[in-house]
Amino acid sequence: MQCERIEQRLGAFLDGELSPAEAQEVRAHLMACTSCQQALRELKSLDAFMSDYEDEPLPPTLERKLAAIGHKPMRRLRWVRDLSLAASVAAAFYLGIFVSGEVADGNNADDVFAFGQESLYSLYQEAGR
Amino acid sequence: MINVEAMSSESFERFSRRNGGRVFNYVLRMVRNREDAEDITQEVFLAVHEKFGGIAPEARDAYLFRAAYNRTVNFARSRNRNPEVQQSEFVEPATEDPPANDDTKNAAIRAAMSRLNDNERVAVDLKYFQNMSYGQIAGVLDITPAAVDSLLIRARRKLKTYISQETQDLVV
Repeated sequence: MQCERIEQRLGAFLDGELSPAEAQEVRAHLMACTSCQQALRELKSLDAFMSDYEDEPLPPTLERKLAAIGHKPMRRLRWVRDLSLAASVAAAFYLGIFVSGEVADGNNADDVFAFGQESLYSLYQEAGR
Repeated sequence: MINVEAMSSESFERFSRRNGGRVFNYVLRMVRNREDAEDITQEVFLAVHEKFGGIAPEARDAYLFRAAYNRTVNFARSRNRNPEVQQSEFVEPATEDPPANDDTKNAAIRAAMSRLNDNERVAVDLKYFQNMSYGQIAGVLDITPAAVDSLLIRARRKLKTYISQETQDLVV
């Protein structure tokens, strides 16, 4: 009964997934049990066999496609960029109102709007570069 | 001025260079068809790229393999709607491509893995070929680490038998 329980733990023991107390219990049992020692050897042989598996090289066409993905703009960053642009446009527009109010010395709505448009146009040009 | 977008792009490029081969081979072992594996691998990286900036660096590998797992499962399900398709979700023996670097051990391992059930096969792949912990495997499969432990106990027992049947190289 004890061997059956320990055998169930041998994989996790080899994988380093047991708590220190559990690992110590397995080690203590292994010291005295040839049957479990044999089970551990078999498991180690399996692990060694599996570790010999050789991956295939990445096909060059796929490698190029994956590299190209990295050059696409990311959704999150596009969102951040768009938000930044919107904030800049709004700031420029209000700045335009402020500056136009100072320079024009009045409330000429056309001048204010024209300044805002110019600022907006130059920002879009900047963003499009 | 620091170009944040360029930095993230470089980071993703490094990430895809490091993981491209891992994901391609994982998908290939699941779908066993090179052309499908290439398409799915590309889809996986496109999907991860969309979320890349929002994923914590330490969680990216698990996220990547979760995406690969989901896509291979979806692929298998759509393939299984074809009435001529085989019993297992992932395996397609009739159309399996011979791998470029085939050898006896690789062939024996693939043949043995093809006889595992789907979750066992994924758990074995993530443990042996992706070196993931039980906790990471649990995250990919959306199960508990204890369930991963049970899966691997059963899978190892089966693998030992199947590989012995495939080859006499396994000295026990």
